[in-house]
Amino acid sequence: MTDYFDKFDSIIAVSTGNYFKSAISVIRISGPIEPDALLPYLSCSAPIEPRKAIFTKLLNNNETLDEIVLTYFKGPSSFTGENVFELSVHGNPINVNRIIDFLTKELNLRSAEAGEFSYRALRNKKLSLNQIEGLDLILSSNSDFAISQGLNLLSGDVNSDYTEIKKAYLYLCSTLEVVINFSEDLGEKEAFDIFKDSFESFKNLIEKLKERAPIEPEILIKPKIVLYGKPNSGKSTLFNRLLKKKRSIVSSTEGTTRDYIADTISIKGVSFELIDTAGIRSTEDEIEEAGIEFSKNLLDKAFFKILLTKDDIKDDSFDLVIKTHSDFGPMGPLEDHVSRINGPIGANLLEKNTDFDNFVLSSIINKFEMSIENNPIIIPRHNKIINELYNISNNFNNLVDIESDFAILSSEVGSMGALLEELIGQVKSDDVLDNIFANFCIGK
Amino acid sequence: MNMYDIIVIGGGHAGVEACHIASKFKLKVALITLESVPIGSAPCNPSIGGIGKGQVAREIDCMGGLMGKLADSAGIQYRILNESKGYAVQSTRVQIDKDLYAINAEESIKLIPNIDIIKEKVISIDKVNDFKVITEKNEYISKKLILTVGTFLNGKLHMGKETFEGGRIDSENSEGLEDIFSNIKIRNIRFKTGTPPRILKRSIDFSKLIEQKSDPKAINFHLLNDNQRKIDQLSCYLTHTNQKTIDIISENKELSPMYNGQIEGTGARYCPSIEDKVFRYPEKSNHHIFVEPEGLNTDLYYPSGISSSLPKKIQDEFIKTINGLENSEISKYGYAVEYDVIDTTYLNSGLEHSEIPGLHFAGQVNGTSGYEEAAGQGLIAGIYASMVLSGQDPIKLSREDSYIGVMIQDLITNTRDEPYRLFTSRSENRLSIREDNCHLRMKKYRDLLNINDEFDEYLNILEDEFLCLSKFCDETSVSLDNISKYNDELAKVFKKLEKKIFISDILKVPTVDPVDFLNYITNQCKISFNFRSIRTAAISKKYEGYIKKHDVYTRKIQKVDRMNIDLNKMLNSSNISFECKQRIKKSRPETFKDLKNINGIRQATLAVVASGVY
Repeated sequence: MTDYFDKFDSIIAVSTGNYFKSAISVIRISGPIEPDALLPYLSCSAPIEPRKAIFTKLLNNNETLDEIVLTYFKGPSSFTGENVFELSVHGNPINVNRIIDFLTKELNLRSAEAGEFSYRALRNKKLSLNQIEGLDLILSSNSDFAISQGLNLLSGDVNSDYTEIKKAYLYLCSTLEVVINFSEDLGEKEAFDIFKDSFESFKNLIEKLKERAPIEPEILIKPKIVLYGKPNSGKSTLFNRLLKKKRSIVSSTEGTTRDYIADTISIKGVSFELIDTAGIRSTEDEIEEAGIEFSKNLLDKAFFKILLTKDDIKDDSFDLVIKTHSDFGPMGPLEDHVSRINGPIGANLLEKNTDFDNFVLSSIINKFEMSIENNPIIIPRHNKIINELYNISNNFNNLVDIESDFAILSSEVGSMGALLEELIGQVKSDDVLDNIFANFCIGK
Repeated sequence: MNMYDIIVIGGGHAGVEACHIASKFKLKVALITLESVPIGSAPCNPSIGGIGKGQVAREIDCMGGLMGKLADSAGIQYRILNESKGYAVQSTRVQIDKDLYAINAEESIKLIPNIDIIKEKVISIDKVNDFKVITEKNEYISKKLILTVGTFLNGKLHMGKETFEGGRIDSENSEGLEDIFSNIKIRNIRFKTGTPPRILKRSIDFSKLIEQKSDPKAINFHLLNDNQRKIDQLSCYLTHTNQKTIDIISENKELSPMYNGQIEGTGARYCPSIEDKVFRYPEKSNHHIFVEPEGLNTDLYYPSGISSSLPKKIQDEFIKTINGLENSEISKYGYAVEYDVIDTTYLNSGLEHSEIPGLHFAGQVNGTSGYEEAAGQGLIAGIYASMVLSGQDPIKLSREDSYIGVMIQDLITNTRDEPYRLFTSRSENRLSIREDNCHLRMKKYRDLLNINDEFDEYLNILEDEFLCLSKFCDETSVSLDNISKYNDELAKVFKKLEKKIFISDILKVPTVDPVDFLNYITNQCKISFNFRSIRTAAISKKYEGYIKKHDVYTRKIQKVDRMNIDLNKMLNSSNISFECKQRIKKSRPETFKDLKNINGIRQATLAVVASGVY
């Protein structure tokens, strides 16, 4: 990313999907480029006014390249903070690519790097880091829940819990400073007691937040269902059953060779990636170590893990262990197939005589709904900070019991602050003093 | 001819330090001050030091200043504040005999041959090439001018409905700065400070008060002094306000200049008048009052905690409700003073005004409060002006290793809407900026002053001893037997670890007093060091790990903060708004942190500067 810092040229990229034929594709240009630079290539007349959609021909000399709708956003009132042009062109990828090539050459543009538009918005302070994270969440997540968390961030809403934490942290710093600087005015014991109380409330807030910070938040952003098991254990059959379609072509997902195949299923509006780990075998099959490693990783990052096996296995690391028969074709009664289910959901469902497909799908969506019940914090950076904070505040809790040196305690609180700063913004010494004077009767 | 290298106007704590340090550069110096105001007088609380301020007093002492010596020469009660809360936040405070302090201050300045004391009132100042200072009687010329005029600029006193022109109760004021010096901008905000009534000793019932004796363990301020007190010691006393006190003040709210609109100036929230306390914290009735002697031979006691500008009658009334003060006679009534302050963002790291080269401001006129803060600024202004005149690069104290550095940087990067006082929380490095290591922190700066007297020789010895002791702590192991002789419980803890134990390991144990243990060990080993070296070495070891840890957490932020930035490049940048440039031009930030601290600087400006694309 740092490479972008010294680049202030104009960039171009297609903003809509460019892999399929669609009615319209949007090409976006951002940078110092002025509207006049585009005029020679347009049939419309000057001036190009900001925030007005203009229907015009795109011209290469006198030849019409395409008929487009052009919208000009004048910087800084644009997404990136620079001049932005959005060209809605006809969506054939060949057409789109031809136009991009043409404009790149004629207007001396550069192809945008991945994320560069957002990056410029960040650099020009059009979006905060929190908002960028929100945007990323909206663009990449598979569920309503994640999208609304992303939208909250994008709209600039600071998580109300963070505001509370900031207040509690400020209060903690203040009480520490009161102990150090103003005990004489307030009385030693009174000062110490308010410090202890303030740390208690800070700690409680962190603990509450920690409960909402799953260890691996990525798992909830794009939840994956992984079917795991030896060859011929019935994975592909289950895969097809859940997708409710027969895969005629088994297409490998891009980036991997034939390690796994995947498709998307939607359960109650939440998109899951269903992965059939086709190529994964156990170690005695002597496949490459890298492959095993890969499958393990896949399993680690999975939201819902299903093991298919012909043996009687009990394995708590799976959400569902399905004992399959050799003729795992048409489904018999549920209990014939499912030998072990982890967690309370499964047990409930087992009692009802649900049909098999529904049972599996409900297990998955129920687990998902439970996981998002307490509105988990899934932005990885926030999540990581919260987990770290939790550890530090626990250590601090132990330190308070043995260490009476307030310089040390305050230094430790300062270290927490350095971390918190990434979540809640800077807490300045003046903020602390303001808080002291607002809350305590200080001074001689 | 009345020609000087440096003229200092104002003989308070800032002025005294400024002319005193300038004299060490063999410059010809004049101190011009009002006849009616004693040199080095303490018009408010009778004490030097305190939390954060004790550190400053010692820093001044190590830099060749007078404050430490004067405080010891007049010290009548020493206290170690925060004694139980860790060495890094400990500070020394001494109650002073005010008269003696002022007498010694004037004597010290008088004895210096290259300082002339001129007791005249300044009427106006001109600048052509040099400064021309015109008093009622004479004209004086100087290359550098240091203004340390305290609360005297347009000073106005308030006591109930009565108001007087003046900087203090018993002296006249100065004209407004605009009248004296036509092309200087003052801030359009006035500051206010106040002082409590003084009570006669014979009218106080000490048997009802809680006595606080002088602490013999407290270490004298001047580094070359041993730990004997110079004069007799007195006690201070503690008492409290009560509901009756509060009621009287509440009933007379309308008579308080602070609350009826008569005073417009902004007071410091950390130094509230008793009226402030009552109206802002109505639920609290027992406010602390420290009853402090103003000297050995004076009959005056200073009741710290009840500064007031209420009418005399009300002061009489409420003070008599206080335990032990029922029969008290007030000899001087409390009052508030309002005064002009200058905009310190125009000043550089030597407190020199950017628009009038050679003109420095120091002390309360810069909107600070406290004798120590004033003295620290006077010292810096004096050093800067002197070094420039002597053709040397002036030194700049960093906020990383001194409280004076913290204060100067805070002052010149921002204006405040209340008087500035040093709190230890203003420093980012509280664990390393301590009283005990003050001499080591300041040595590198002092060396650059080339004073080269016995103080410097002593500093060299202390530095060598410290390095030697640090090594000794890291490399010397202690036997379990030896530890158990010191503390059996401690030995048990270490026994479990089954590894070689070094002195440093023990100094870091939370329950161990590091100074006490290192004293024990050096005695055991029959090696002798200066008590200061043992303290500093032991305390430094205790904090070593925490300082490193803190550094790791803050390194990322500080790395950017410490980044030097190019002023001209910013002012010519097309990526920085006009408004931001105005602010930058005024404050002239040198590091990214300075820039960040400027009020109203835009995030976008910070972003382009941080990324280096301005």
